[in-house]
Amino acid sequence: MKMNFAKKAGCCVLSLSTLWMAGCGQQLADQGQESSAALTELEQKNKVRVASLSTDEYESVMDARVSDRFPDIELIDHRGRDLQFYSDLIEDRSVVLVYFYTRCVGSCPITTQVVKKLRKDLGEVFGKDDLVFVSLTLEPEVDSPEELQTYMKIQGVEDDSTLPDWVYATGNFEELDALRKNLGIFDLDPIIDADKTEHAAILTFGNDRLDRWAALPVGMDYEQLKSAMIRIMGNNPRQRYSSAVQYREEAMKRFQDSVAKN
Amino acid sequence: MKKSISRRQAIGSISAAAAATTISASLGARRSRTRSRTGRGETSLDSGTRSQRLQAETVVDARTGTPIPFEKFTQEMPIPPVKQPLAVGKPNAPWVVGDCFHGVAPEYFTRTVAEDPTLKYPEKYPEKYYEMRIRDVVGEVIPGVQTPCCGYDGIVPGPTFKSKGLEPIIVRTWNDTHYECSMHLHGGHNPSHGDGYPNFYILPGQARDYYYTNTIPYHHGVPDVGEAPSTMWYHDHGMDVTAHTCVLGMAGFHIQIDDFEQGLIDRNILPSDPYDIPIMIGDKRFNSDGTIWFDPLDHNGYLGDVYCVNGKAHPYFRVQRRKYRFRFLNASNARHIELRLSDGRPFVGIANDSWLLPHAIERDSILMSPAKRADVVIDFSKVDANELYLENILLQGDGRGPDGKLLNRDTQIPGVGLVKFIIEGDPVPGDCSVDVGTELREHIPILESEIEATRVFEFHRRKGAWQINQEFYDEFKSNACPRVGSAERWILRNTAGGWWHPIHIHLESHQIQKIDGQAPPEEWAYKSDVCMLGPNTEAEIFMKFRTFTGPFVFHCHNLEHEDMRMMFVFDPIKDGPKSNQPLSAYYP
Repeated sequence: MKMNFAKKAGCCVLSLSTLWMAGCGQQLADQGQESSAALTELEQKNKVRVASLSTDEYESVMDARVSDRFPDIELIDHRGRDLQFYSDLIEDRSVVLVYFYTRCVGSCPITTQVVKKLRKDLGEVFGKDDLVFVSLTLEPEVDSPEELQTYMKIQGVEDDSTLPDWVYATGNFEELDALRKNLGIFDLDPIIDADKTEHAAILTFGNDRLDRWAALPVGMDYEQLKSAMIRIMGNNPRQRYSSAVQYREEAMKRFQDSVAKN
Repeated sequence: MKKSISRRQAIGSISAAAAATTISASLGARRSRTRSRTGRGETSLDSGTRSQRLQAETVVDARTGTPIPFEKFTQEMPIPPVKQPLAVGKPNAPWVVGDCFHGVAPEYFTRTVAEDPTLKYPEKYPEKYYEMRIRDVVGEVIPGVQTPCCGYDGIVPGPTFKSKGLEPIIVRTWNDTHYECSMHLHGGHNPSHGDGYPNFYILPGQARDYYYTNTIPYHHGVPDVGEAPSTMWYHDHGMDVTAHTCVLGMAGFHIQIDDFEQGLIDRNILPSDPYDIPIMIGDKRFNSDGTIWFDPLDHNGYLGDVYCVNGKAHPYFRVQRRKYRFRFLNASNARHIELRLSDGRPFVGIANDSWLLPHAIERDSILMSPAKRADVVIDFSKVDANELYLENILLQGDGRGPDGKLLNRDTQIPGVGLVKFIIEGDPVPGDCSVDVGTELREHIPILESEIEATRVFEFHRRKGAWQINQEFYDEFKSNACPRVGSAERWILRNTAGGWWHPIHIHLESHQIQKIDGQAPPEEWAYKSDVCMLGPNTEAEIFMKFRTFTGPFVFHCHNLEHEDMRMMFVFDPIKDGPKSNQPLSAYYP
């Protein structure tokens, strides 16, 4: 049988009678009652594995850190507050950074929705004090604090004392541009890099206290983005690895549900 | 938010190596390059000054390089020790196989071929049991400098596994580091649980039992001896941390010698130990305090300016006047290299990636992307001089890739000296016979008539990240589900502008049919496991998917791109070919 697949394969057809299940290190076929017994066994196994992970906090990194090279530039946030980038937003904190501009009609609206969701979900995991979200403008000459406030209102981003702080910040163009390059948020091709409409749609995030940093594309699967961020920024083994040790039958089901809907 | 004395104030201002550094005047000026566009690179540099320059020069780039001056070719190149088993013979394991946090592959207990359960994996020799611990270690890479590294069994490179063909082994691997690791045996034909799927971790403090079958797939009911690998390597593959763990030293060799290759050695055709030597080449950059420089926010591709060969910076190696087999491995994160001998003499090429070629060929230079291997024979009895340098002649300025195009690269001759061979003694009599044209391992080409599906994978860069078919890696979705036991045609198309992407596909070899519509160079015309894509390159490969169901991954082997999710999943299943299915199994 020969088949040709276009580069974006079309929908696949799943029938319930061929539901594949992962778990217990075995490949199991779903046949009615067997599936719910196996599911219970899976859930039990997952509980045991998660419980085996310690909740002892990791110790802070006291010698050289990635953030040592971050400049401590002056920023003004949407409330008109003066902030120092490193001292106020980075040092010993967990932080999620994104570059944007209010006039962006490309990736920024999508990024904003993703970050809104992350603010809520990661806030529940990390608490609202240690984690901060920072949106830095690519167009400080346009994006004054007032413009930032207007943008936030349109996007539905609010100051909310029950959630981690989300700071929209502007400042000096040269300093913000140098910071952007320092953070690795640039394209090696100077033409692409100079084109704001092609700016990176990535989240740069890390736990400064534990010196763990990464950057990931906003467009990836949300649940996996979230669990990767928890893994990178996590403060104890259970926080970091709970999602990593679970046999993911529920994730498979979610994927199947989303395919069935489309 | 803690706000007492700032930590930065407490420990003083540390400028990372990104800042400009001053270089001692004794190092001499930075080497000027002569560019050639012929791909093979011919220049007219004066050879009289060449050896002086190679000897005296360190590799410091005044702007962004390693600020530690040192003299090259003053350390002996080590040969990693061979890993010894704890026990031999089933069921004589020193522990209960699978009795650890991450367990063992279910296939360990069944050993039936996925596409034909009436068949069992070909096996011949008793099972062996190994235990390995991934540890932090401080070692000397640059002479006189202590460098914290991370290595398998606390050494860099890790120990060399030597397996016989058809000799199953279990490697219980403990993670004593603080990184979440996942070990991948690159070139191996193994079940999914222990194949290094990025999310199948060995969590810190835990162990996973890696079942390495050392078996070969079936071809029409008969074991496919053409598939038996030679030079494989193992390295970390943990999601998000691979670039960091690999540059810290998590890599080692796994050499398989099946009965057929042992026969070539016993009949004195191929060199035997101790003249069969693995050589791992990887570039690194160091900070002034000797630590390895690494930037987790740089996703273009790590480039170093110090070449580490078997764990030592620019070493020397004493050889006799006889033939040596060198198993070269480019273990760099992102640097492509092209190897050449300093007097221009060609290599005798005997293997590409994990497989012996059907016959030995002459190679003027060896182009290697990250992760590629090339086995060569060098006959030092033909060298009159007492010194010969192994050089890298390929120019690469940043993580995008070398200057130029895949088959038309910018090179410099002389290149950067990697290893200085010190040649001693008279020609040794009774040497092995391998030479250009010597028959090696038969190659069974995959036929057009066997192809059951064609897939196209486009690699592109968008908005600061890389995608495959406009998607990112989804660890729960099998993008491609071939029918297990079948063959497929995959078109790999690099549309990512100026970026080079070496594409590695797990599980089996692939056979490159065309590169940009032409037949590939002879060294790549048989079996490969890394398909090099230069700017705008399109490659057509045939590949079989045998013995095991998935999931497995394929990805760009620029480790920074890989960590940024430039990766896809394939999952051979019984009722393929399909696309975009849930994974058939998951082994956290």
